[in-house]
Amino acid sequence: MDVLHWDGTLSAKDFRIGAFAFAQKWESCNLAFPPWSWLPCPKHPWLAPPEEEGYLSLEKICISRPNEEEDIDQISQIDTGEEETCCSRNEDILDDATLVQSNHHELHYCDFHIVYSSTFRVPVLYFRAYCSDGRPLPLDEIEKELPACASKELSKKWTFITQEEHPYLKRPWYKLHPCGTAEWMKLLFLSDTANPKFEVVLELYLLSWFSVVGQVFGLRISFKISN
Amino acid sequence: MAAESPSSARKVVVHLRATGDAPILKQAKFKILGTDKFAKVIDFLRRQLHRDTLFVYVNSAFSPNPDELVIDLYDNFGFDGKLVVNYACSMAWG
Amino acid sequence: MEAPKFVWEGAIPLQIHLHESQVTTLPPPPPALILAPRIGYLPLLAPLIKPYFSSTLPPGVDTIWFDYNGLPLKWYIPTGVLFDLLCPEPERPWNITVHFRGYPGSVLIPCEGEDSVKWSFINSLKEAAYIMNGNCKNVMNMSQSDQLELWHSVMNGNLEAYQRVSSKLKLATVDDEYASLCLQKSQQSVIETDLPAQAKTGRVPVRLYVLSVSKDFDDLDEIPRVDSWEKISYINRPVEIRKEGKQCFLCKQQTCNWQLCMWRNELDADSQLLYFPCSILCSSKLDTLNLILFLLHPILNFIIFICLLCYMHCSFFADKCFTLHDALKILLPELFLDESLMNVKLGGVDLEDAVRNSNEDVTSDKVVEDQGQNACKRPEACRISSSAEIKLIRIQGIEPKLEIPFSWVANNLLNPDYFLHVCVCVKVAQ
Repeated sequence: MDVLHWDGTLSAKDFRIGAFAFAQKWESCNLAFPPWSWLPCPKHPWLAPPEEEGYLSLEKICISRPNEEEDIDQISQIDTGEEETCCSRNEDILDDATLVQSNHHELHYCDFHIVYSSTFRVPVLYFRAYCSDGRPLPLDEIEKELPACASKELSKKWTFITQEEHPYLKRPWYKLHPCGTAEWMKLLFLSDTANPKFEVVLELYLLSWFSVVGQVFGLRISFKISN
Repeated sequence: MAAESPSSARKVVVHLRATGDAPILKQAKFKILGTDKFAKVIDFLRRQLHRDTLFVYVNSAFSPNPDELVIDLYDNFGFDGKLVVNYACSMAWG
Repeated sequence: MEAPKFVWEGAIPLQIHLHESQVTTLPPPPPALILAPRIGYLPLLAPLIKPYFSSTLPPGVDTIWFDYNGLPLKWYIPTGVLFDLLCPEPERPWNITVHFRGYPGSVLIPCEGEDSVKWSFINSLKEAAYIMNGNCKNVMNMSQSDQLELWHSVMNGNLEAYQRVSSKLKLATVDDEYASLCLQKSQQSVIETDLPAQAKTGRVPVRLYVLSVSKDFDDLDEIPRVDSWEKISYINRPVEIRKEGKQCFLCKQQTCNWQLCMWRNELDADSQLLYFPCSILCSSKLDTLNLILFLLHPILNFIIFICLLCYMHCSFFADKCFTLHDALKILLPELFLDESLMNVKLGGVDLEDAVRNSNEDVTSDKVVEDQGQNACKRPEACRISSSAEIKLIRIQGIEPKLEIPFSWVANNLLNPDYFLHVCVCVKVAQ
């Protein structure tokens, strides 16, 4: 396929190929994170999952942001349960719900799922956030953990992040809106003077995609793997 | 990473390249300290283009985190003595 | 075109019970009777239901949600679709339970009232636009006032206002082969026809809900109640209409016109009934029930005439158009494994037979059921693979035949969010 005339989208089959390539690269270069796993999913309860259907999953990623002054890695994988320095929240956060624990060092975690959308023909990020005790975090609490650019975007409620049903788990998850994805994916690859073959695009697709999407959560992924 | 030269002294030439329907800037090249964060480049673009949301990315189809250091990006994505930074006004979400 | 009008006027008579845990008065309040628009969403009924029950509610913050036999109802699915999906054997009035406390947040997406419903609708519309036009710019760039007007038209069931605003979105999937055939000489052209020619993707936004039943059944009322959403698989996948070499007959125009006239007359006769306040709310006295049944009349007629239309359609479009059958085959390929045999038969429906049948059908209301049964019992149409078979297909309350041109279905039975919501019941061998 000619990348010049490519519209930035993927087929379901391409998605699976791209997902595997991404997971492999990730594992070899992003040592700070756990690996992505591919979860095959049946289309119907009575069917065995066909090859293509499934999604990528990366779970229990700490998203708690440090105080601005501290210059430490903002995201780190949870280790053996020991509290890391990445977790301190602003001391003066007021919580109206008086009974909720007032542990200011409470860690917040995110699960990320990359699901293929047949409508938009691109990967879509679904996520949920929770405290160390498993209590789910509502969006306004998640927002406090997000970098400034993302929380600014959140002011446009309904067109950035909304709660929707997870296509496979059938539970409410948050979802990043995918309307613009194909357009910027096309731009990402067109800028390349090399004009790569589609196979190359496919190899890099999810990594390039995640370099954009991960920023919403302040995720710093190693860019060494993109070269 | 440029280990030898003290990175604080090193400056990087950044080449801003408009893609999509983004307007071309009068001054498309400028120098920036290697120790500066990529966020500085993004802010510069935002101010020049008077836009809150911009889509900014480097070669190899990669969009760096604003907290990355310019020198690191240069070492990875720079060539011909400059770091090419593409920008577009496309809608990211929606 | 009349079909969208019937779709928009379609309504489900609801008998809403307050959940016992929230009853604080004796005697408990009688259930509320409400005629809920098919194209509407359950939380939009809150302004009617809440005052009715407010005196008996315990103190606290109200968050409204509904269940049917214990199954929490997903508010973002249009009411008519919920009914078609969860009541294979239609239950009228539909007995559902309302709760004002204990929102099941782990199962249902939180609903902050009308605003949530509105944005769920707009996002769905955006998705449909993306499928049909390849982008959702027209929806994203809609002016604030247009967006509001569009939403209000859906809330109030005002089809004219809806068509006026939605036509600005320039959403069109496919030429309606039926419309272009029947209305080419008519001056009353419909919205589809005054859209400018544009590149159409031919992709139809479809939301497919598949209820799997493991127990064998002969009658619809033997289908066990759905106790978990796990039993329903949801497929959100566009269907691309393949048009290669598929042309419609032109010679049957007269029949079509005859049929449209019939429909129009029927509509006029019913229109008075429809002026009854649809949002009627009162206690369950007998006369209310009668009133509701009275109001049901147009819906029944609607079903009859849609079925009739479907019958007519299948006869002369069967082997020429991309049919509903073709669409389902794309969505559920695993159910159409050994179907090479059936194509021959599907194509061979005789026009004369179909016309005669439909003439007979007009005579009795019973036809509705019969046709439904026919559609699901026809072995060659629905016996699909050895392990699973489609027992029932329901769109907007009707059971269309598989031979109908899919373009007709897509253009006429769609919801205001431009999605075609299709409910299918599949019997799965254990």
